[in-house]
Amino acid sequence: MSEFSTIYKLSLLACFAALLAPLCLARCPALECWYVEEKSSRAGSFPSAMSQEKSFLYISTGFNLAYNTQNPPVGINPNRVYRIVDSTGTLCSSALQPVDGAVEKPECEINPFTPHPAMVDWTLSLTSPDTSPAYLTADWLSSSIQGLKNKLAVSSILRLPVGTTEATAVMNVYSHTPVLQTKLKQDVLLDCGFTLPQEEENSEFSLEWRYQYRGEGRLLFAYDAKFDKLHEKYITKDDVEVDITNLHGSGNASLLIKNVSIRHGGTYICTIYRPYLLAQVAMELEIIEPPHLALLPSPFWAAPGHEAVLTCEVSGYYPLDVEIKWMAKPANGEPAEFLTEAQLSGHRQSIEGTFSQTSSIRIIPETQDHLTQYSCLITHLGASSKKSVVLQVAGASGPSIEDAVGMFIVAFISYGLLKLIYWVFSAKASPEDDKKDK
Amino acid sequence: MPIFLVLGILNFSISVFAATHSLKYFYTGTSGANGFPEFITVGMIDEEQFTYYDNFIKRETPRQSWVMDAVDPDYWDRNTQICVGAEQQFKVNVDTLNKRFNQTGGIHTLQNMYGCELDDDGTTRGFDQYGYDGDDYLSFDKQTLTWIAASQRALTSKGIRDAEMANNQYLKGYYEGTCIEWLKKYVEYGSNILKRKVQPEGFLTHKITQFGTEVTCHVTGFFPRAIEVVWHNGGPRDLDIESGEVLPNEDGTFQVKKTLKLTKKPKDIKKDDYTCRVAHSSLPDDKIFRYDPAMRNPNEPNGNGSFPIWIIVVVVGILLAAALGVGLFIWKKKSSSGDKNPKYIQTSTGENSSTGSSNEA
Repeated sequence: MSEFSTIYKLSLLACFAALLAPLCLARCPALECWYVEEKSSRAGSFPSAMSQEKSFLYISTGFNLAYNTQNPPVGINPNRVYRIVDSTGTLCSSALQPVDGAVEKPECEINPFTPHPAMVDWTLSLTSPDTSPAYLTADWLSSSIQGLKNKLAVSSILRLPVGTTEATAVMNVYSHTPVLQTKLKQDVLLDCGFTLPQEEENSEFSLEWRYQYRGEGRLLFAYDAKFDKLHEKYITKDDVEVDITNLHGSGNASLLIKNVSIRHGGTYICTIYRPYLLAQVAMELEIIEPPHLALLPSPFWAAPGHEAVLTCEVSGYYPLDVEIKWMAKPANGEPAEFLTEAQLSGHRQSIEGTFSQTSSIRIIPETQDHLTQYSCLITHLGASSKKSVVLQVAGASGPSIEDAVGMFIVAFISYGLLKLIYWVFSAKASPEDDKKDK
Repeated sequence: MPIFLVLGILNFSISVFAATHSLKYFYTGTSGANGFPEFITVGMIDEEQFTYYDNFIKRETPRQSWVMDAVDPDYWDRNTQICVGAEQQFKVNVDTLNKRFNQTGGIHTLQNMYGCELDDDGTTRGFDQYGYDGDDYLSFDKQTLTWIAASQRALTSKGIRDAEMANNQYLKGYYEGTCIEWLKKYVEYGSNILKRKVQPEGFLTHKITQFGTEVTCHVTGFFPRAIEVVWHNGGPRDLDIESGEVLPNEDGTFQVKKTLKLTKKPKDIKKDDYTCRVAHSSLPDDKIFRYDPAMRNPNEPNGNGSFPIWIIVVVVGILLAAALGVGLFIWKKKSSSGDKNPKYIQTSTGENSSTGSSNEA
C-alpha cells in the first residue's frame, strides 16, 4: 500500500514537472469494439471472407493517474483485449467516453493494417523504394472510433510489438465535424486535425483532401509537407482553402468552404500520409434549405356545387425529399381528416439548385362546407410547416367586398334604367294622358 | 429502379455539343425487401437499357433488339455466369455490411456501378464505384490506381485493394481498352437507335400568379436525351428559372420544361422581351420561341372567372327587362295608333294613367 502511494506521488511529481497535467488528469475511456478482419478473396472482387469478433480497448495517455480498471465484458477473447497508449490524449476526449448505463455507445471498429508505401504523387517523398525500416516489423492495427451524437470521429494507426496486445497510437486523424449541416451561402469549416507522437515533431507527412458524391469524386487539395509543396496541377477550381501555415505547428488541416452552394454537398475525406502509413476521416456536408409555402388562392372562395382548386406551392427546399399532405377541418367541430386525392406536379429545380413542387386539391363544396379549414402540411428535413386557409362558400355568409361592389354597380345601373324608362314613359305618354283627360 | 435514383438523376451539366457514348453496368444487392429480387444487374448503353438480370430469372436477357446482332451466341451464357457469380458475392457482402453497420433489420442495398465513356474527340473515362444504403462506399481512382474510401468501414477494403497493384493495373486496362471496344461495338450495331436524331418541338404557355407571371417553355419529342433549353432576356441579368426533369416519352423520345418566373404582370411585359432558346444535336440552328404576353394558351377558354357571375346575370336580366319594357312601349304605341285592339289598350292605358294621376295628386 505504501509502495503504491510512493509511486503515485512520484508520478504526480513527474506529471507536473513535465507540464503534462492535462494528460495526467485525463480520464481515458475503456471501450467495446468490433475487431473486423477482411481477407482478400480473388483479385478485383469485393472481399467476401470477413470475420467479426468482439474486442475491448483500454486507452491511456501513458501518464494517467487514474487507470480505468473496468473489467472487459464476459466472452471476449483475451487476445482481443488491447491496451492502447496515446501520448497525445486524442483518444481520451470526453466525446468518446461511453455514458454509464446508456444504450448508445461510441461506434468502434479495429482492423489489421498492413504498412504500405503510398503511391500517389504527393506522397512519393515519404518513402524510398529500396528500404524497409525495421520499425515496420510489428503488428499493426487501424482503429476508427465515432463518438456519440457525431461530436468526434478519430481514426488511428496502432503499433504493437509482435505477438502482444500492448499498442501505441502512432498517428491520429480526427474531426469534430463528422456530420455538418448548413444552409446555402454560408462559410463552413470542415474540421480535420492530426497528431503524431510528441517525440516526433517532424514534417514527414502529406495531406490530401478529396470530395466524393454519388460515386464521383475529385481531389481538392494535395500538399507534401516534407518539401512544402502544393500540388497545383491536381487542384480544381473550388472555392476551398486550407491554412498551410497552421498545419505544421498545430496539426490543423481544416478545410474552409466559402459561400456554400448545392454542388458542395457530399463527402469530404481528409487523409494524412506518413511513411508507409495513412489514416483518414470522412465528413458529410449536408445542405439543408427549408421549404417556403404558399397556399393559393387566398382568400379561398367557391360557389356551392362548383369545383374549386386549392394549390400548395412548396419551393426553395433542399434536399429533394418532401412530403405534402392535405387536411380538412370542418367548422362544425367534426374531427379533421386527411385528404388523399391530391394532384402532385413533378419537381422543378431552380438555378441555385433548390427544388420546388406543387400539390393541388379539387373541392366541390356544399353550403355546409362553409368555413372549413384546409391545411397544407409539409414534412422536410429542413423544417416541417403548415399553411391553412378557410373556405368561404358563396351565399353562406354576408356579402364580401366584391359582392358589395357588384351590388352597388347593379343598384346604380338599375337606378339609371328606371330613370331612363320613367323619362321615356313620362315624355312619350304625356300626350296620351292629355288626350284621355280630354 | 433505385440505382438510377442514386446515380443517374439530376445530371444537368451535360454538354450538348460534345457527344459522349457510355457503357454502364448497375449491380444492386438488396436485403430485407420481400418479393423484390435480391440481386439485379442492368446494362446501359448511352443511358438506354440493353440488358437485364435478376436472381429470379437467373439469366441475362437483352432489352434492345439490335443487341442480338452485336453479340456472339455464347455471349448470354458467359454474361449469365458473371451475373450468377456477382450475385453470390453481393449476397454475402450485403450481410457483412449489415453486421458491420450494426443493422438488425430493414431494407439495405449495396450498389456497384462500373463502366466507361468515350467522347467524340477520343477522350475516355472509366469508373468502378460502390455505394451502401445510398451513400458512397468505395470507388476506384483510375488516375492514381488507388481506391477511395468514402466510409470509415471501407478503409480495410481500401488497404487490401491499394496493395493489389497488378489488379489495379488490370482494371485500368479493362476500362481504357476492353470496355471501350465493347462500347464502340454496341454503338455501331445499335446506331439506328442510338445515333438517331429526332428534332424537338416546342411551345410556350403562361399563367398569372400572385407574384407575377410564369412562362413555361415546353420542349418535347427529341432524341438523344441531351438538350439545352435556355431563357434569355437580351441582358446579362440572371433570370429566375425553374427546370423540370428530362422525362421519357412513350416513343423513346424525351421532354423537358423550363419555367421563367417574372415579377411583372403580362401587361407590363413587352412582346419579344423574353425568348426561349433550344439547342439540340438534331437542329442545324437553335430554335427560338419569343414570348408574346398577349398570347392565349392552347385549349384555354378566354374566361373572366373572378368577377361574381350573379352580377352579370342580374345586369343581363335588368337589360332584358328594360328591353322588354321599351319593346312593349313601342309596340303599344304602334298598336294604339293603328287601333287594332282598342279594348285591351284602353284598360292598359287606364291603369297607367291612374297611377300617373295618383302620383300627381
